[in-house]
Amino acid sequence: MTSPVLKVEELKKTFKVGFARKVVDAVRGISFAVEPGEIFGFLGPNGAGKTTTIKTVMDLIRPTSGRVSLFGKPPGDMDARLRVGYLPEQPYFYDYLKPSELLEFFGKLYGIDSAERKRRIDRLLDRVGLGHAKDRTLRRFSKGMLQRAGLAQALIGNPDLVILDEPLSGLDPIGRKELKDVISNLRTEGKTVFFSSHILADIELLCDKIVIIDKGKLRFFGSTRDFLKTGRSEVEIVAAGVPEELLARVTSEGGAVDRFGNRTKIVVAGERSHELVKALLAAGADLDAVVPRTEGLEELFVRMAGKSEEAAR
Amino acid sequence: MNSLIRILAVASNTFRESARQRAFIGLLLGALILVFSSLLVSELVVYDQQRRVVQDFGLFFISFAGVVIAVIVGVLLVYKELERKTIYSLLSKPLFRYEFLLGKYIGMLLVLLIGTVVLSGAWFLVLFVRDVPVRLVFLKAVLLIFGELSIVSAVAILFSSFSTPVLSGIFTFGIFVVGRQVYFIDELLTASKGLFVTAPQIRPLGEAVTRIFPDLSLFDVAREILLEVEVSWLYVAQSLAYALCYVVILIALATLVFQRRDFV
Ligand SMILES: Nc1ncnc2c1ncn2[C@@H]1O[C@H](COP(=O)(O)OP(=O)(O)OP(=O)(O)O)[C@@H](O)[C@H]1O
Ligand SMILES: [Mg+2]
Repeated sequence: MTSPVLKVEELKKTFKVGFARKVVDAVRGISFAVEPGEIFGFLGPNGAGKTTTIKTVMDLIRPTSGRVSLFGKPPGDMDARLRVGYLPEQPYFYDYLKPSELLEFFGKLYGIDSAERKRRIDRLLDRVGLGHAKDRTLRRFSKGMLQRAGLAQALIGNPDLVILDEPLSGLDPIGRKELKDVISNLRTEGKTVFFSSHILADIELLCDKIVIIDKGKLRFFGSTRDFLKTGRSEVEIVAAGVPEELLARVTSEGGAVDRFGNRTKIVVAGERSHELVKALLAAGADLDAVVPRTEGLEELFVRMAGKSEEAAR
Repeated sequence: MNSLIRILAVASNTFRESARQRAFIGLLLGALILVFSSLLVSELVVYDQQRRVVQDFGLFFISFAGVVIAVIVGVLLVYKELERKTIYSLLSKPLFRYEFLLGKYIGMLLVLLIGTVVLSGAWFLVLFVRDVPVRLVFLKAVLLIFGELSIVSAVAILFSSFSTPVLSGIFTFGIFVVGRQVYFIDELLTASKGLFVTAPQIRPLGEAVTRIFPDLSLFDVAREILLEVEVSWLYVAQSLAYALCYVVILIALATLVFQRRDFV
């Protein structure tokens, strides 16, 4: 059995705000573990507690209770620290430096010798697509470029575990694609990647495992496959000339039907769609579109919340 | 060994920040002000007072400008890292928090050192123009000023590790002002009349102040220079050692505060 690279146990963090010391429960007891080699997604809507959790993992904030361990050690441990790279949610760095100078500085902290530093810096800047901007100070960088510089500084120590807080935000579609490629390449290098997002679609394809939190509480922890099975997948079909008896059958089986003139929009559960499409074609209907509907996180949370209320009753 | 490399990396980045943000242009401006104002002031007095005025005024200016720089740079040192959100990526690196503080402090000392050197250069220039022979004691005086600045900036770091820049600035300046009076308060405490005799109930306060606050008058040798009393190297070394003790304690306290902090 391998031991987890990152383990969070019953983590709680409470902030006290303002003069009144009003209590804000940012994280209310979550536990999960990340195994070596995994690409691990950390999902939750805005304000769920993702950044707070990640900052306790990076030892920037201290838990109110519970435990965090990196490679089996406390998060402040130097050996553990040498094996982790981190991209903060807000990628701001010393803006009077050029990206190569920033990497030079951070590289020294990892104890990398100067020849190796030079080699790595050139390679990394090319890898994150900043090869053309080597001679600009970070002050002149756009948000997306800063995000890339942030990724480079997270990777400078050649870490075994890469922790990225919302790495895809602020990037254009090409940038998002490139970043996803970087992440899957890290996997082929045998590294572990832990990254947060509030967009379900970012995570589905990339991640082996996910944790979903909401309002500081754990909602799901397991493999992405299992998650997608529990998630209700629906298919939307738009067709013309659909016979009435077929529509009646769809409604009786729990599907939804909407008419727009002679065209009809049908929404059915994923597992029924195959059969329905066949029936439609057999009945001579004109199919305009068959689209799988991916459930957004918000819908998912609404449904999950509904379920837990049901369970409570 | 690795720890030293990391501390120096932080120090050199701190120094580079000042250099890149053109802090030294301000310094040159300060030096120009020193030269012109002391030349001007010395024009206003009779010839045989000139020598005294350029000596006194220059020394006062270096010390005063140094304290202003030390307080401002010191209280902003950590604050800027927080404000610009650069601290998250830095503290998540293999770097202990005490190494971070120490590196920042050493970087600042370097800035202060350059500041003192530039201002002293300007002062020596004025002395030369006014035909005052540059004596070794002037160099000793400047060294002592640097010792004082190292304490003041460490005080600034300590306050800024838990307070806002404005409050830290006020507190630090307050400590500087009181610190310059510690010698005087001490004399009052041993005197057979005066404040502590007429109001004995505040005696413990005076005793506490002299015990806790650094005696900054140690670093002020303007009177010795004026009276042409010798300032020995031993005295300079002892005073600098005194400064070092305070610095170690202050930075250790700042580290204690800093260790427990959340960087949200
Ligand atoms: N320093 C703080 N003081 C008080 N409350 C805080 C602080 N930081 C975070 N919070 C609160 O803790 C909760 C979780 O915040 P956190 O930033 O961890 O969420 P998140 O999941 O990262 O959200 P997002 O997707 O918007 O980045 C929020 O309700 C937030 O208001
Ligand atoms: Mg966040």
